[in-house]
Amino acid sequence: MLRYIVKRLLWMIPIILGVTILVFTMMIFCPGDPAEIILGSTAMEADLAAKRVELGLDKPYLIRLATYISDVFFHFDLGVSWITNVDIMSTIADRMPRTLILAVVTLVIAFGLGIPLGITAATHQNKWQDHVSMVLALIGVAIPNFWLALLLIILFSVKLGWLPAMGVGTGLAGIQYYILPALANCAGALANSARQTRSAMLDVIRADYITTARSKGVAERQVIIKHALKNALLPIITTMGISFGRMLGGAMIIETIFSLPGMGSYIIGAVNNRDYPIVQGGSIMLAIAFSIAMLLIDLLYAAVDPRIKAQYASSKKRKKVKAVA
Amino acid sequence: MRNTMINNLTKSNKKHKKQSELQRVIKQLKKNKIAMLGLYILIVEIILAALAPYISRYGYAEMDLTACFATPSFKHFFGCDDMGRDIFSRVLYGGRYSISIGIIAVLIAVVVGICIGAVAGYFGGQVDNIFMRILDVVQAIPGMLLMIVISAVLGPGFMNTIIALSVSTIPGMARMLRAQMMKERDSEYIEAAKSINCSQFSIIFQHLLPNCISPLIVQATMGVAQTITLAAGLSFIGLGVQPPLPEWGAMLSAARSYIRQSPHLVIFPGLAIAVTVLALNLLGDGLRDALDPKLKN
Amino acid sequence: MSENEVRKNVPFLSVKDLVVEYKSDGQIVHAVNGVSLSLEKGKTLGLVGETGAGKTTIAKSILRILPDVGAKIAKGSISLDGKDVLNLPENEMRKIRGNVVSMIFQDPMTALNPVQKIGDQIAEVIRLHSDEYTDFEKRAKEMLEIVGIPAERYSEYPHQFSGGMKQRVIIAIALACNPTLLLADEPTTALDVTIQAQVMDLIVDLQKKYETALLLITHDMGVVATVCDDVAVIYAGNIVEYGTKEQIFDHPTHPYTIGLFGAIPDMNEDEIWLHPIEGLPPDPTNLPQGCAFSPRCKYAADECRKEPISVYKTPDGHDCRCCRINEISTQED
Repeated sequence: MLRYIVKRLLWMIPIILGVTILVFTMMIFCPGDPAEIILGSTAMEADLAAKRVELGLDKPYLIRLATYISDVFFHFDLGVSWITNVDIMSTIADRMPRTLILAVVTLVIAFGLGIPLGITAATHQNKWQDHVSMVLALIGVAIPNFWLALLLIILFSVKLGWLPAMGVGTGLAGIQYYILPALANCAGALANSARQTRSAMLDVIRADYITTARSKGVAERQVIIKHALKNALLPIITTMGISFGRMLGGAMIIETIFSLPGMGSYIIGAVNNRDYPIVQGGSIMLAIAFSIAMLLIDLLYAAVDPRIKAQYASSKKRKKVKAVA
Repeated sequence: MRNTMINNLTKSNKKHKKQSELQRVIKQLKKNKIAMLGLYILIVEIILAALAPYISRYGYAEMDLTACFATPSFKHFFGCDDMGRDIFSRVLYGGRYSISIGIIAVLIAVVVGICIGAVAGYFGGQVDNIFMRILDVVQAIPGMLLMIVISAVLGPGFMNTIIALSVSTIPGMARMLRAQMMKERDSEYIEAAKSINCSQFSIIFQHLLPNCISPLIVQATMGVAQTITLAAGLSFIGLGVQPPLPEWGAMLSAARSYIRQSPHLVIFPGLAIAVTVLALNLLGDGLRDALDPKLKN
Repeated sequence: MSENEVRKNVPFLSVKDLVVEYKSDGQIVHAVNGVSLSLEKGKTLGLVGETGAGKTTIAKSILRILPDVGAKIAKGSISLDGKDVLNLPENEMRKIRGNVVSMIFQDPMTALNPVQKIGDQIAEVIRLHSDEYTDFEKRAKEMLEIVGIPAERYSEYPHQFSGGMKQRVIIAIALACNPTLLLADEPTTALDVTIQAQVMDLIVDLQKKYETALLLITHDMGVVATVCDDVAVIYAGNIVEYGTKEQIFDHPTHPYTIGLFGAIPDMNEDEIWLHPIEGLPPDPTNLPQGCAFSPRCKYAADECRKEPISVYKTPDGHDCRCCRINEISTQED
């Protein structure tokens, strides 16, 4: 298992390198002259030219790419903001936790509530519990998270005045700022996980080994939790990665609505200000965070499914050959 | 049951099979009332959007400064926005943008996804490896982020939104098609096709693809739903379709500032998105059940 | 039979007039249509019939583990040791399952939980029922050795076992609590031919050793001949012929049973053609009126197609659900 984790971590290096190259290359085509963005449209031509040299824009593409990669991976330096001149890496270190907290909390809420809801629907197939949860799930899937965020603000902040509509706080009181964003962001994933759990459970409940468990005299509750759910979890976990990606993306929009200073509002603000180093560095850091999350989800999968675990234990050599090729 | 057996028996007659398969799917779909409800909602929405100029009394940009922030009434079904524009008209016209963005972006993604997935899945080996590593890199960037970066490069606008959306939809389509291709690739009917010296092009597109199409149709339907939401999200943060065009997400974005005084500005465009996405999901669920009876519970 | 004998031979399992229906797509599937049978402690009853005849449904009804969606025991009674099974509360029923009555399933490939260690799957049934064994793991390892699997494999998962080995594990689960009745649902059908005999021998050896009653569901007449005391031949959810093994094998009377024997190759004769039973089993959603076998029966007459056939006694005293037994026996001789 340890070797698998190490191997997966090593495999992340070319992926992240690829992301860096991809993002860097795309950003080159951004409209506008960087020197002019930095110095403003009133700057003198001589100053602009000097700035271009300072930024290394006169050098060929490959050199600039190599410089950027070495800055990022060997000096952990993403450069400074064109507009405010603030160091990007330290800003990200400050903001990233908020986005991750929002994404992880919503993931936990979504699956923590979605799985029991799906189980209830599956074990009461075609009864009212099933119909009610599936109608709710359909609606939940259909509502865009940013619209839900606005509706929640109207209800809880404007009409009822229970929760703040924007900002951050410190300490325990800071939690209240996360409640509405988390609610808005989790609805879709909650609904999705409930639907997936239901169909996975319905598949599993018909399996022979469930009949075996019943024939052993296992109580129905235990049959569902111990025998059915553990098997149904496998397809659910595989979709968790996709969900987490959507959570991160959703969190970016939600942050701008609730003025939560996270990665989303940082990057989106930067796009609007044409502050491209932030977009570039922020995207790479978010991709790294996402890749680590995917790795954790894969490990979770391996922990639940002995067949996968065995595969990693026994076919190390074969897999290595494949990965090298 | 017996019917499907007979259908299988007549497999040799390809045209006949196709016909009966299509008829079976349509018949199945017609039986599914919920899926048909989704289909009807969509048809109505498309007609409303197409005939918007004949239905609504106001143009989408027509301002009536005396009616700013008007609440819903017989004169203005959904009320008016901050510039006195009729929200009902704007929602109708907005359907043109939102629905067509969704459909076009998914169509592009399907075509490109078919090409990548088919080639990678059929040839396997190195070709597959290269394509999949590229997709690995693209998919390491969360979809929404990728769209934001692409919009940053291309700038906002209708066509650029479509490009951003289809690029981030392609990897999923390609991967799913590749998995299907690999499953079907080793079937006996493919060996049979090879044995009579079919060209690789014809094997991929005439023999393999039709057998991989069912999950593609379902994924595409669901994909349109998701793309409409994403497009609205992108416009909402100001990177997609720009005001004054009445795209639903852009309308929500503009309405955000007036959320305290006039919540009705926020309600209707969002409701339009939700209803469209719901209808597409209902149809997608129904299609999945109809196309693959095995999956039906 | 005297009053005294009856009391002594009170059957452990007694099924009376069992009717089981499934609802599917608005149609009613008549899976079991009035089956009665009984089984004494330590004896073996063979339940013989084609796929889809309702054999598995009978076994699952005894344990009350029919799939709850749509399946319904419409009529009849099942008693175990005098206790009415169908009216027991669920928690009482759980004490019977795996403990007093246990079951071996047809397909070992899917009958074990893929994400649980096989040892734990055996230990689970012991933990649920046994007061006798306090060390569940030790007993589970003991059971593994009994069915011929090294105890060291306790911590392995089903995917590491072959089909025959999995069936051994399932047998270990079934016998771990020394049940009084074992339901074996085609226990060897899914296995390789070479393994079939081994597994069957294992079941029979253990059954003899622990004096377990065995309800053996099979369509293999050879197995029935070597293993069973009594035989019930089942067709379209109904027992058509029921007697001791000798009675059925020496004097098959029902046309269906005769047909079944005709479909077995005879080693002593140089037969070129087997004699299959013409036609297909009836659609269980739409059973023919009268005798369900009548459409395929060469002896069928008008009286067969009118009303349900009652049970007749054959000359050697076993039961046969055929109204034309007299005509058949004269023709056959």
